[in-house]
Amino acid sequence: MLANPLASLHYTDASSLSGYDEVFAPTGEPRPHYAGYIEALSRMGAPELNRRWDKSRRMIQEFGIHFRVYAEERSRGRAWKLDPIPLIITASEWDHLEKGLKQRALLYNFILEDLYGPQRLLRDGLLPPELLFANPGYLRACHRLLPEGRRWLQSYAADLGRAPDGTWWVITDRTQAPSGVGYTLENRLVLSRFFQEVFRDAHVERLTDFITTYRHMLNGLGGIRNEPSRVVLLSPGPLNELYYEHACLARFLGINLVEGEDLTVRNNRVYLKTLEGLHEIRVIVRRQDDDYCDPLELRGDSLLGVPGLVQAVRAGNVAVANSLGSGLVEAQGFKPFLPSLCRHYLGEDLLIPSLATWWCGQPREQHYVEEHLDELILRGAFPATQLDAVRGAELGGEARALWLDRLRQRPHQFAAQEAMALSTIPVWTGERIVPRRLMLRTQVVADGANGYHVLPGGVARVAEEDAPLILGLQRGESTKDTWVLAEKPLRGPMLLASQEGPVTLRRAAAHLPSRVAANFFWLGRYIERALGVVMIARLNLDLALEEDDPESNARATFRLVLTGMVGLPPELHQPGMPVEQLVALAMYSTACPGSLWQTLDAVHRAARAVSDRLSNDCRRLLNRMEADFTAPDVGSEPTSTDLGYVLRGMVTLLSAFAGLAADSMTRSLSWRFLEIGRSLERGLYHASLLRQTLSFAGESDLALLQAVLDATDSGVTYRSRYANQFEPVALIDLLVLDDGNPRSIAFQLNRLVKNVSALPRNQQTPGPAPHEKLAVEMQTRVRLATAHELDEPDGQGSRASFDALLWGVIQGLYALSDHVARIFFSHAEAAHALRTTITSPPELDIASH
Amino acid sequence: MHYRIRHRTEYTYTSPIMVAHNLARLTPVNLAGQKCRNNVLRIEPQPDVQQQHFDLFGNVVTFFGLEQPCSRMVVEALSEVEVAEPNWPIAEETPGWQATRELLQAHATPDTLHAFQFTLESPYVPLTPGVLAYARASFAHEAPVLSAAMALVERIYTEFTYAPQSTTISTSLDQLLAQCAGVCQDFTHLAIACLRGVGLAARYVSGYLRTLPRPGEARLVGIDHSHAWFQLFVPGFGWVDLDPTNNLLCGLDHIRVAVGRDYGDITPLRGVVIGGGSQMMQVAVDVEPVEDPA
Repeated sequence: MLANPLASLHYTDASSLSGYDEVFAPTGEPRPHYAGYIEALSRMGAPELNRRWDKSRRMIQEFGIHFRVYAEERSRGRAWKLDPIPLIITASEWDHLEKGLKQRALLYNFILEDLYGPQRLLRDGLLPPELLFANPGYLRACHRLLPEGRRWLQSYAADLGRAPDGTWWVITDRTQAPSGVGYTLENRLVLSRFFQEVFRDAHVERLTDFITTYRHMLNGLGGIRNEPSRVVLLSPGPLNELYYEHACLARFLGINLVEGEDLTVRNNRVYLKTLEGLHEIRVIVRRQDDDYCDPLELRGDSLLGVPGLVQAVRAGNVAVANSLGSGLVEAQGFKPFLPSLCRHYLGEDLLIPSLATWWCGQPREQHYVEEHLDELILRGAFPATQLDAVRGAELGGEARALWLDRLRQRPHQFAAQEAMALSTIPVWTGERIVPRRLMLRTQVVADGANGYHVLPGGVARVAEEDAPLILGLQRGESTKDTWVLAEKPLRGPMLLASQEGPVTLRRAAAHLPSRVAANFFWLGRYIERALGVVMIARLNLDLALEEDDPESNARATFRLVLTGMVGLPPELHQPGMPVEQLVALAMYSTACPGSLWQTLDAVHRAARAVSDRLSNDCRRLLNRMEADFTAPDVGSEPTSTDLGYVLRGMVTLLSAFAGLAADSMTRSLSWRFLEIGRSLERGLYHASLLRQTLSFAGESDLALLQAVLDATDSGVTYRSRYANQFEPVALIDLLVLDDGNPRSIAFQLNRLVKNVSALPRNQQTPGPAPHEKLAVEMQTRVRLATAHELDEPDGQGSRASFDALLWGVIQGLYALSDHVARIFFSHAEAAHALRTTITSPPELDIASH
Repeated sequence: MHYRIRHRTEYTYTSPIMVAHNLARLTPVNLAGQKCRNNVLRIEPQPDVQQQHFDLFGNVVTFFGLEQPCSRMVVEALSEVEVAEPNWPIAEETPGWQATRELLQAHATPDTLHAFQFTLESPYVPLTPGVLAYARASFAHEAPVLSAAMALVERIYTEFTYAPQSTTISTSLDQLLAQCAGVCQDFTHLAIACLRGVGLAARYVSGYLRTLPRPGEARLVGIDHSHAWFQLFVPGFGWVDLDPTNNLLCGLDHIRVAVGRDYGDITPLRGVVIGGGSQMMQVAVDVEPVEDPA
């Protein structure tokens, strides 16, 4: 039997809100263009709806759609929220919005062109000069930056809201780095599959043309054809809350996602630092705020960005979209002047009005705002000013006096806006629908020489709680897909023109940025290093259970191995320290440079820098690692059991991560660097461990030999070959020479040789590269050795040739690491390691006065 | 008056710099009463790229990039400048400062509209309550605008001590007001802030000051200095140069290089280098009067 169809598809009385509802007419009946969808939902019933929706939500998780909240270093992304009921807009209504958005984009382009050029608007009295000169978005270095006739606004986004009378208004304009295209496409992907049959019947406008137009625009801007590798998307990096959106847009456009330090300017041209060398870039899609794009010309107090970028633009060698400086017109203060500017430039009335806004830089408007503060929202007139919007009605006593005082001191810094009740739309809670306020983020991109193209749809954002007023939608909001209904049935691909379905879309695989390769290399090294610390720490705990004497050979030796490994500072080292205390220090101390805590931190840093290239499972494991690596309660003495528990968990997670990362990645260059890092670090670990434990050929100590097997995770293999006969020579054979044993040094070296020789080669120099040579030399030396030779003690009772071989391997591995870094990451490293300085200004003074 | 000016800046680095991008504003501007006859920038090592453009304020900006490792960078600006005896308006006859403010607020003419942008706050010239309070004392009564500005300059000159190394470029105006000591750029920023604080237009000038040898002594080479002062907008006339460090209306000894809202707009030499370790800088300025320019 069908579940009760949809008593649940009506608002309960208690939940209804004032204003216009997108779905239900005042009669309570669905509006005509929603009738089909609502009916289909009703037919489906709540249980089926939930079942399907769960599936769709898993899809969201699998895509890893999220957005990151800027917070503490180790912040995690929050899952993207999507609701099953789309915002549906009729063809005729959309026609009006489309015209209005195009008009607005044109208008803003005219304004930018004028203000960064002749500034006639000021002379003609059409704009008050404060809106330009007091505007932090006005970047003086960008004055006349673009050649005459070049478009300033390449893309544009507007947040639309619907007033109670059913009309749409523009609430905010985004002209600098408009976000939302990536999320729009992902939402569509999820929702079109969730309700495939309804979606198909509804004749929803496709989003394909927008991406195609976007690509054309970028090609035109760079004067290039089919060279996606000449175009990059510049993101502030994985800590940015919109990083996922950046990665997503880059994927849809088929271009590389880069950060400032991936780019460098040489001879007025912009280059991407790649493994193959410098690769020239012609177009930068920027998601970095413009004043952070060039520390030389735009913002002296920041070293973010690409020094010399502005000059490269000035020289005409690279184009930036949106143009540097285009954030200027985002200021709320422009809104009241748009109607007259629209008539001035286009001879038309503004098709979509802006939310009623008063700019306080004019005495009459200032007076009005002071008089009507209770009905208004007060905010900064310019986006960059650090002023949060406040509702006048909520300002009492002292706070009100303070705001009025600030307003009177610098009136031009303030604007006030009407508190409009946005329209509502149903949101599915899992049991019923509730009405929530809605805002629609629309997207526009330049099309052809003078035109603009509007994305039919967008991300509709809904407030989590009932937020009656517009202060912008806050965090915690959920989103909806937006369906624009076509007049007639559509043909052609649903989402993208090519077979590049968004799930499998490839990144431009060539030209791997050096920074990405470096982070994979370090990720591999730190993962193995963390594993080593975990193994030795655990062994210390285990040995203490088996041997009472803390000075037994095995315990003393492995205590030394552990303190050496984590770099325990002498002042923390007390003789006779209980083993739990030592292990706790090795795990949690921030004073030990190599403690597990520090090493895992390095793992996370490297992983975060390449998170867009890791699988979701890898990311999930990393999150688990963070959650499970808990510090002991302050004050309580950690017990051996507690510590052992955490360590065992870490072994599992680290091994799982290493295995998964290696298996789930294609054999690309990134994978090679991860593998090189891993085998290099594991080789170092084993070589140092064996030197410390077996170089001295004293009486063979059974406990020590067993411990060495445990520390190298080779006990099982050994026993299967030799049962309980423990002889150093057999250990040496298994752990150093046997290249069939994945734990042996020979195995690591073989793996290194294989991966190192697959790295890009410099065509100019014939013969093996230095890193290749090193790897092969080490491999050969180990291959030529025999176990009995290595076991042979010298006159002083040391295994001298064994020691020399391992020492050679250690030296060789360090040298190899240096070579790889110098040859492949050196540009990347320069920005990290070498100090970048802004030259201090010459002193300006005179000797006498 | 004709001058031959040599402005040499040398940077040495403890480890080589790999890449350096620099902006120089070392070409004297052509402004009323001043003409730059010749200007050459000599840069060592030879830059891989060097280009000039005008900035928003009409200053000449030279961009240059070094892309080969080097441990030493020398930028030498050689200029020949002609400075005419200024013909400043008589202070007492200039319009009142309140009337001037009104004209600026109305910005009805191209001149006043252009000057208007120099009435607003800028990064190095924030109008803090402390600055406004300091300014108020000099603008209590109606007075001719130039007289009022000169009185302000005199007040700064009397109340503040010239003390090299007492401030850095990040010293705020409030800090300056508290310590009452600074160098020319501090006094200039303070004066500009006071004038903007009461609604007047003032802009920052970077340049050179010729130092006169002591009576009976020969002129020493290389002991002159970069200097900073400001310009006040006087309706009906234009911009008048005042030097708060020396308490005077500028004359033949002041050579202007660039004008802007504040120091940040027209830093003579700024750059971003990659590599380099720590750096040392040496500056030498030589302002030589020449009898007959060839």
